[in-house]
Amino acid sequence: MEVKLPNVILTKLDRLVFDKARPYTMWPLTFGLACCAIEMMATGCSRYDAFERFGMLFRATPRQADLMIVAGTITKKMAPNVRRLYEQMPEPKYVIAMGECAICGGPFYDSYSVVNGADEIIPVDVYVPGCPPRPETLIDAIVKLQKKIKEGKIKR
Amino acid sequence: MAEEKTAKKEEKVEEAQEVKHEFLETLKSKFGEKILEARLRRPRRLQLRIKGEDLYPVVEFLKSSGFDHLSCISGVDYEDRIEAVYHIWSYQRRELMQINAELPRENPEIASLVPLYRAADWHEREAYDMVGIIFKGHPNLKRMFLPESFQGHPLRKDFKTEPMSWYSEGEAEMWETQVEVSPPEEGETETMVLNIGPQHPSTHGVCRLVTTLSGETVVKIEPVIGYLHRGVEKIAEKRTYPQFLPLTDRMDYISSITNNLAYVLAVEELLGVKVPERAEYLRVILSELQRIANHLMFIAAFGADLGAWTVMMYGFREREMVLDLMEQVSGQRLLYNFLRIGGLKEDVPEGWVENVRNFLRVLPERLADYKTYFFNNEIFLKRCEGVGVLEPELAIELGVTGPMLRASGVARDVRRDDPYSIYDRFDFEVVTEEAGDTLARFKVRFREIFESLNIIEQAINDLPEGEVRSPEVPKVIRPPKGEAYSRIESPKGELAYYIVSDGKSPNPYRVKIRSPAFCNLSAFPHYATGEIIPDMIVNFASVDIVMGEIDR
Ligand code: SF4
Repeated sequence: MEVKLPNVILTKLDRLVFDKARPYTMWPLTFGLACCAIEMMATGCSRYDAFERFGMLFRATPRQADLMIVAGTITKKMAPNVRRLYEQMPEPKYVIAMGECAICGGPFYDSYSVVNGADEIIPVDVYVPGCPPRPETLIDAIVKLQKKIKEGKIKR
Repeated sequence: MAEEKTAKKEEKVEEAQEVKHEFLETLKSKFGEKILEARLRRPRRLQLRIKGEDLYPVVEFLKSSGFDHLSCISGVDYEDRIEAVYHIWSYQRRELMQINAELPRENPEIASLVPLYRAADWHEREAYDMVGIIFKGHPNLKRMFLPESFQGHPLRKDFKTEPMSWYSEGEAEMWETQVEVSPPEEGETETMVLNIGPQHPSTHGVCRLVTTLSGETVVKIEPVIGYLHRGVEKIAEKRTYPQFLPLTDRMDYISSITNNLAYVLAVEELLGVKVPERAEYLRVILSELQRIANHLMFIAAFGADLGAWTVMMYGFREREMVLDLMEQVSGQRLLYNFLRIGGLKEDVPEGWVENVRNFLRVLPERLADYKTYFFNNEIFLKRCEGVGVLEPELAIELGVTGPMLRASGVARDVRRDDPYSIYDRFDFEVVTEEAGDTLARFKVRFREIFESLNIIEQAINDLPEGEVRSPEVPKVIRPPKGEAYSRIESPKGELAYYIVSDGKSPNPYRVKIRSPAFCNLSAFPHYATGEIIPDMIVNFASVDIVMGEIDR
């Protein structure tokens, strides 16, 4: 038997509407681990003022946040907490790994108490190189993440 | 051998040091055989070597002779023995006593110094955690940074670390830190336990405070630290002397130049090199600029903790000016890695000095506004005045240093008491406040910015021309066998690097960092208990902590 489909496009509302809006309202979690966090704060404060211009508002609780900027060294003692914070964030959620430490352990790669990169415990969308990355680099990463979301390149 | 050295030094020393030598004689005559070695390492640095079991009476005597500030306790594993190393400073005599207490490796037990110095509490816990020295009589000998279930002591020489260690799920369980909270005793009102951190906007990083509340009053605070323990002291043993320099930046990342400075001073002491004049002056200028940046950051973060976001913006605006100056010399905004063993990386660029002068002019104008924001602001005053009073006696006993101590009215400053680099050439005031409360701690830091400006101005006016790097420093740095302890006044307090060189290897044998914020944080529970919970945040902010340096 032949089924005749009507002339429609099948898509998710999610894809059509929200993915267009999401990049402009990413709410990062107030969460700093080490030196990179200072540069993250500098990015948000005078001179760069980069977060609010991008519609980003720091939230102190993971339950209201959808972006985690891992700014600093993840130690093994902190790792379970980082994972838990990530799990507490509602979907869809994004992760930026800021700095060498969050990418691969950075200058502490051979320590007995450092996790070699955030991607060992949580999925990462954008990596920001630098030790610490300059605020411009972080801004660039935010723009890249926005692009990725808009293009629907984030697989979950 | 030791006597010979002492005798040689003796010829050179002036009158003031004769007295010190006399003190060593007193010690020798009092304790006789128990003193294995007593010598004057350099002016203001005395050294004693004893057996572990004789420690307590010796230190008791030292304390009664004016050695009142326990600066640091560390342990060194020499493979055939373990040494517990104590550094005790006497403000009255202005000298530092280093005590090496020898312990057998199999059973490193030593008497706890907590009954003499309350500051010993956290230091001993750290030495237990890292080197495995057991302090008998310590009231609460638990690991400081690592979880209780951790196997081994990282700074033992036989603790092997993998070149790359991957993180496994099983490990997570081990590293998860539970804090046991004792239930209230009978007859007590029921209390509530509030866990603050490690992720909390006002913990300045990853500090965790397990707080017990009775109603709104804080009855007990237990700081749990180690969430940023990166094992730097172990890494140091795998790096050469110059390679370790960038890691010192990452200790106290808000004032990295001062960390560089303390480290290079210690290595220079080991090597016995002299730094060119111009480099000395530039070091002073840079460290004072760094102090300003640190205090501006403190003001910004303090404002943010009080809910005054505007202040944060202002603080960062001014701080960016310092960062620009630093960027011009080093190319980095935050972690400069600009000092080198024997001088600086390179000379400052042309026109930089003019820029600094310009900064000296602009900053006081901007800071004038701050006075209105803070000292005329009723909300600010209400929240800080009389909150978290730290009594001077308690502060000294707990080993508090830096602005926190000076806010309790104790005028102590390493720059003046134990001058390093060329600080003895400048004329500056040691800022103190009498009240000892949070407001006083804020005021001290605020006023110190002006003192730093004053020092920078003097240094710029005298800045000589010439080399910035000593040609004496060899390409491969292998310092002769020995130990050095360099103390400096970092923006947070007394920062010191204790370095042991074995004379053969290009890597340090042991690096121990005496972090000021570590000791200052240990005082925090003492003055913050008994106050209400909203005040606790203000109290905590006034310590000015950086976790990188506390956890190391
Ligand atoms: S990447 Fe560098 S600056 Fe960032 S946290 Fe690690 S050590 Fe610090």
